[in-house]
Amino acid sequence: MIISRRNLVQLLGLAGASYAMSSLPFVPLARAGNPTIPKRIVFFYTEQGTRRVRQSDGTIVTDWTPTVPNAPSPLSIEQPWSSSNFTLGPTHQPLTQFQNQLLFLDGLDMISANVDPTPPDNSHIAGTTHALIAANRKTGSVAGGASIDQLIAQTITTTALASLEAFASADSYPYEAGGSGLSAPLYSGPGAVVPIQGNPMTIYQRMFPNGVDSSAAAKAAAALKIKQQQSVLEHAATDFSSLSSRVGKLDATRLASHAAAIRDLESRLALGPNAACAEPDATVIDPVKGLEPGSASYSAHMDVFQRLIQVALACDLTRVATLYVSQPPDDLFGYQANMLGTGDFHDMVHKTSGPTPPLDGDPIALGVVRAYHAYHATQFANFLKLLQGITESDGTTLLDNTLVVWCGQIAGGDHSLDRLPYLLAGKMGGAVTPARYVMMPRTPNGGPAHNDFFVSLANMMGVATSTFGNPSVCKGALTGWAT
Amino acid sequence: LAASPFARLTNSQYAATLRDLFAPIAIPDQVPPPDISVDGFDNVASAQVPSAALIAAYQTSAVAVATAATQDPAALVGCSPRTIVDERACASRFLGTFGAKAYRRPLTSAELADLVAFHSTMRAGGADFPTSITLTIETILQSPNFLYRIEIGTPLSPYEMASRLSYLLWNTMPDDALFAAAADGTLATTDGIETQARRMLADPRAHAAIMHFHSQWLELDKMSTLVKDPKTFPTFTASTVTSLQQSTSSYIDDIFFGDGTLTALLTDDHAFVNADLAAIYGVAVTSKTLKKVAVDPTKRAGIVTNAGMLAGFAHTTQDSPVLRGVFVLDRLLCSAPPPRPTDVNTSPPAPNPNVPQTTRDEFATQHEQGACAGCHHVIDGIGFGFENYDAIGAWRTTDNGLPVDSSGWFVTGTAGELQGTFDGAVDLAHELAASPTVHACVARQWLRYALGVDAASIDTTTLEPLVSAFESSNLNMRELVVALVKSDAFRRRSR
Repeated sequence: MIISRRNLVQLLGLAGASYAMSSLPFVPLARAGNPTIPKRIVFFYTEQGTRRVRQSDGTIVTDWTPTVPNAPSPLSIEQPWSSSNFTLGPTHQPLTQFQNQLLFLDGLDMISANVDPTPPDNSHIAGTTHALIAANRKTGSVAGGASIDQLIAQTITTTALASLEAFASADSYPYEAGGSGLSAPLYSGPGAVVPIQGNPMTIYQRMFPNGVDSSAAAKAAAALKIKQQQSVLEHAATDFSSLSSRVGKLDATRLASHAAAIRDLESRLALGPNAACAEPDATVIDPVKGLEPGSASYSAHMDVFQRLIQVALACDLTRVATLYVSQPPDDLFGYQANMLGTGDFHDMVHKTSGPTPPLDGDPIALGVVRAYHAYHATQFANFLKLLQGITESDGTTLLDNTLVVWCGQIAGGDHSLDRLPYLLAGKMGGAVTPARYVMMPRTPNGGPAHNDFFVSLANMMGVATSTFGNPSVCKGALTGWAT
Repeated sequence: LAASPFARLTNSQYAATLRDLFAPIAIPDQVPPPDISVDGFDNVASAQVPSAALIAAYQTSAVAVATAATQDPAALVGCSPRTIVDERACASRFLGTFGAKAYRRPLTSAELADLVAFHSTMRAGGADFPTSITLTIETILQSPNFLYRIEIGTPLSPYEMASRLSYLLWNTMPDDALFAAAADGTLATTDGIETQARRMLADPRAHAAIMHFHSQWLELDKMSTLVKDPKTFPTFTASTVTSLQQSTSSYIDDIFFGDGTLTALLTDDHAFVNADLAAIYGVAVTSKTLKKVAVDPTKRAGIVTNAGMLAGFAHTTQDSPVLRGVFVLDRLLCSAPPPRPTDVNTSPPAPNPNVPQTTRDEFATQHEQGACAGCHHVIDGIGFGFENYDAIGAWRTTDNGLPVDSSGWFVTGTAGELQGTFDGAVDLAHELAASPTVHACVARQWLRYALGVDAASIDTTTLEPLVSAFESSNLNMRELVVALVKSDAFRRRSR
């Protein structure tokens, strides 16, 4: 850090030519809310946009929006509007038990995609290359910047893994960029695709390259190490105290400040996520073994990946994870080949979304599409349950210290990129107040850029930035939604 | 002299001290969070407020270093005990020696007993003998006696003096000879201090430390991120940047340890040039390595006309009269202009392609009138003197096709110096070299660095005797340093 003397004085909130920084006490990190527990963020990424029918007056009907009494029109508000009085729609019924952990964030647009001068190779790629990146494309199918998860991960240097990415599908293949006419959603920089692993064993080995010894002896050794480090710190802190009595006030204050920081670290060693961390041995991946690609394999992969992410967060191996939730096999939500004249489920999604969707009035089609979304909601609920099941050292749960961002490639089944359906869960250590529906103010031209939402997520995770992605559509961190 | 708390080892001192403490056992390099730099200096004690990140880094570092150092325990501690009783004796012997080196003074018997007791407690608590040694080293490395330069004596005790000298002149812990000079009381006398200081300045270890001061005083970091517009300067490459950096360092080192005078630093007509820099200096050198060559004394005089400096205080396409003027005012005259207002446009003026203008004219149009002129008349008067050097420090006589005007003026001169006008940077350099204000400023910069305080903390009573000594030594900078370490200001800490 380079600062001039004048800036230093300003920085420390001191005025005038004489300043006495030496007298400033050390402020321990552990204050109200016990921020000794790290904040985590997980991106829960799904492929198909929500069903949405665009009315002749421009409004949209979706299954995503909860029922909110007295909700104003987003065009009539100038500040974000929120309500804790909402009823989950049909596709979110599986999340009922987590309603007080959910935050519906409505009204953001993927403006960066609309202003991108490079045309996308197809209308799904338009979303994929912007959903988490929000910068001008490098080519028709390659994104031109780092994705939000990677931006955050790149600044967290204290965990064994910067980030963890898992691709849940019916087999163990990694997500192949471009292989299915789509493109990669995660990038570490312009054009730099981040591989998303589909093999649980590969991920397990990334997490525990030396395997896991869960024997009582290993646990005792780990506990002894913590105890020893505390003794080392306590001894050093005592050195500070014994010296303080022999020196002047200025020096004593400086030494006391240093000693306070040491004692703070000492007390934090016993806290931290380690207390909640139970490292699994390699049998955790057994459920996927020997299964042929199909619904059983898909469900098993999903469950194992969710458990691995749970462990990675609980053990503080990483604080940033992305779970790519691929489309489930048809039989998991009741689609049958050529149903109602559709080519495949993707075709059915299109025929139930848009201005005049041909299958919109069909109860069977609606039932299948809703079952698809409800299936994802079940997966989301299962994940939240895993996070809630971990109690951290201060008595909060892992979910309390995490923000799970259910996001996706596109907003609606008609490839639309406006009113992105962000469903958030968790409190991220108090940074977010859930149990609310939040509507961002919109104009006839659209709503705020999702870039700004990502700026605020980055800020919450400790990344100091005021822009993300394409800076020309950024207005700074999105305010008025988190608490 | 304003009071200042104990100095903590700076980033570079911490790393170098660990290296020397364990030598010949190699340990991994450790880099704690960056120092807070005040006016370009990394060692201002009052700014060294401990942060949680710093304390955490010290802990991580202590574990890494102590673990690496005890890979071969017998090599480190010098004994291989077989019984608990032997262990105690072995630990006590090792900790007495190691502790004294780490604390840079002998341990009191109570301190030694305390460290041995800590070792025994760790041993009894389940650690084996080597681990107990590792843990004891870890606590030593996080003790204030290691991390800070604890100075309690008035005047400073010989051991406290040894550390002061060592961190000033070598930027690391004392060597055995310095410890010996502390032990036998030599460092309690001015003569003893002088003898040691001269020995240390003659030692190869002094070069990096002296450069550390100069790079902060002269803002050599401006050269660390040099980027020039490839269209305007097609031959300016990454290799040019490295050559410029090394050339400037070599120049300073050569002057300081050779001729030694400030006059030479400010007016000498040599440069260190290789093939990358030959065109910039207008000399014929084809070697890859830098060679000391004479340069045209009508075009170059000393550090202010050094190409690296001129390129550092310039923009990517354009030179910068403002950056160059502020540099001279701030670093050589100790008279920094007030900080720029927060609400002004600080971008350099954009050239108008239809109406070619010199850089000087562009800046003059924007600066030399209205509210700007208040400060810029002072800054630009100096800065315009450098108009013969483009953004990579090469000599030019035309700018944008128009003839260069490198005349300048002084605004703040006191009686008998730095008054009226001057003609170009060579003329300016000679004026600066003869200026008592510059002499006092250089002494002030050394004092603030040596004492780890900010420039404003230095009063005239402290400064004046040093300036006299400097001037009576014919402005020899090594003699200035020797006079400084013998001074009361250096031997007594203000607290």
